[in-house]
Amino acid sequence: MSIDVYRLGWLCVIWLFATMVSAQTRLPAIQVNNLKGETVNVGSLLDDGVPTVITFWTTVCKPCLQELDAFSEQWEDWQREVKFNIVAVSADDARSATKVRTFVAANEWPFTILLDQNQDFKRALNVSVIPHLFVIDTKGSVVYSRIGYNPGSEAKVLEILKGL
Amino acid sequence: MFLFAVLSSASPYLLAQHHLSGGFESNSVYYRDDRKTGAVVPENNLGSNNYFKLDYQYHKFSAGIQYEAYLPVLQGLPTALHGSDLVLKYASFQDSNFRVTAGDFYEQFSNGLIFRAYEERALGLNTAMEGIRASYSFGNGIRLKALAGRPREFMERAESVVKGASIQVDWTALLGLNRSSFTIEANYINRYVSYTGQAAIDPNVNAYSFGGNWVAGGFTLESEYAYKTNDPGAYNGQANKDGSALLLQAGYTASGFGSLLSFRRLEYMQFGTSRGIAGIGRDLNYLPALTRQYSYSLANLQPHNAMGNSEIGGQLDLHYRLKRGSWLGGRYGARVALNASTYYNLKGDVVGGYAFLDKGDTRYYQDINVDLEKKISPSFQLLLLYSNQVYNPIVIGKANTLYFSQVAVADLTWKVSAVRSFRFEMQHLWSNDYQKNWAAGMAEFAISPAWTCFVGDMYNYGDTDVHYYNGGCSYTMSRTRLALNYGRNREGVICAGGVCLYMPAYTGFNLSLISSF
Repeated sequence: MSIDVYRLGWLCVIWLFATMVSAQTRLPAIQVNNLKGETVNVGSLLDDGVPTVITFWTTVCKPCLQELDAFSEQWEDWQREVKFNIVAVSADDARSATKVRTFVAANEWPFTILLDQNQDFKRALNVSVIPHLFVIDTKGSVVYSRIGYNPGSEAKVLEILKGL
Repeated sequence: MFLFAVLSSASPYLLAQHHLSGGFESNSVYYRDDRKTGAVVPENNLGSNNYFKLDYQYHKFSAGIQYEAYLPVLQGLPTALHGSDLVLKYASFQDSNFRVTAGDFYEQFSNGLIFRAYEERALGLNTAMEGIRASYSFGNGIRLKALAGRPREFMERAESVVKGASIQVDWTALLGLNRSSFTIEANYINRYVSYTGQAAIDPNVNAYSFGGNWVAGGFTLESEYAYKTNDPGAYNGQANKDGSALLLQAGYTASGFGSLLSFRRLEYMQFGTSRGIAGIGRDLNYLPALTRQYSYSLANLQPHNAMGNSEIGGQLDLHYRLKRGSWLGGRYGARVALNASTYYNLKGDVVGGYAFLDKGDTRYYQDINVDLEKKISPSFQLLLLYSNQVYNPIVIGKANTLYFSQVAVADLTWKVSAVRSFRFEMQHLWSNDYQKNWAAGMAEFAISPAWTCFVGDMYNYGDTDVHYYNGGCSYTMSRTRLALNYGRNREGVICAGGVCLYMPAYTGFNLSLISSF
């Protein structure tokens, strides 16, 4: 066990170092599906030339649904202040992926919805827990990210977007 | 030190040309004796699961590793997860329509009825394939995939060699359809395990599946049929029978309304990564329970576990949004959702065979639930849930009997200020079976976006008179989250992603650290 702890300690050192040298994250080259079943390249999410908010959610994650509701409620007001897109990436697997369409329709969310059924996109961005939100600037760099959601957290996202 | 020096000298170049990302996750429990629940404390009182992942990308090339350390593994998870090792490594090249990966990879064909390689850390599950995978797309219309390799079994590799291929044809792109989309998919998987014994055992198990998705306006129809050649093993009573599965899902959506009706039939569809063995961390395919997943503890007390060898049933989902200003919706609107699911065994038996569509006499599970979510004022949001459940413990290998229960939940969120909020949960379960009545409550306080603290208790006052208390706090800073909890956890089944695992009772401190960059 002592060897295992020793190895793990070294990995933590490398991890800390990598955190320092890796100042920005870029979108990986991954393909996911939209609600029509069409394949979407993740890189094309930035084609509109405006900042993009990417958030990972599932139909069974209560804080995720709260976060998407909060964005939905303020969508029109925020669009008047700053132009941006929201991409809500569902990490629901085969158990609940077909429910995504019913959730989106019933809630009338005005966002782009993507399906990441085997979690390739989620894994590529090293998302361990959801909700996990990223703000991407027009150059494709992650300028803000956050794990979890508490009521009111969405205000920080607007502040970041207005600063871009 | 050498690696550190190399990274240091290379760092300007890394920043300029290359991209490095990664993640670290650590879940540790310090176990304490607890005579009230009979929790057994492991050696050193400690369990700790640790994952370190690093990915590197340079233009079209990427590579990565995952290192895991179990110091030792958390109680209840497979004990075959022990020690530490560099368990996953891969290199990949991706062009606009071509991709090849050598090393470890995850993959899924259609809904996973015949193949899914994936990771679920909460259950200690990782069935990544070690081998090679290639995919090619002919425009947007036809997509081909092929793979070969060995599935992971805990810290080792399975004794099998798995080969597979998949073709997906998107008729929408090929025919230039505008008002609807239509795709079909065909998949094949072969599992080979060499056999030199005297019994008439075929070293090959073949599985096929065919399916299609159709979307037109608000209507959707999804289907998949799977067939699997015989694979006698302990998990199917050594039955020398071919298996099959059928999944049908139909939905309709409109503005403010969503509906979905699902049907699934399973017959001898458990498919292990090795011959004769299947279960958590040893399944080659994915057969989740198609029921509602709850985030409320009492509604989730007795979850269904899909019976891969004989099951038939379905699920209905209805979601409706009551408009703002309407009589029921009030000033802020409201949401109503109805979900119902029921599952039985297939009619027939091992000797005479099973019927294709008739259900048998054994009810495995039933749940009829409704919930209403309403914003009462700008500061208050209320959710009310009622669930009527029937559970048969035969799904976890116990006696064939039925537990009837009813669960009610009230969940209130109170936003005190722009950044401060409270959340209160009150739950009750009524039952005359098994451990009878339960009550639960939870209070949570959050300061957005960083801090969350909670205290809660789940109390079985119908039988055992045990309180399962819990409390803790978490702190989030950007992409790092640290959480410390203390509490008592009940013995029972936990599920993640529709796969369930039996967990022993434990009491102790739980420290969780998650970070990525």
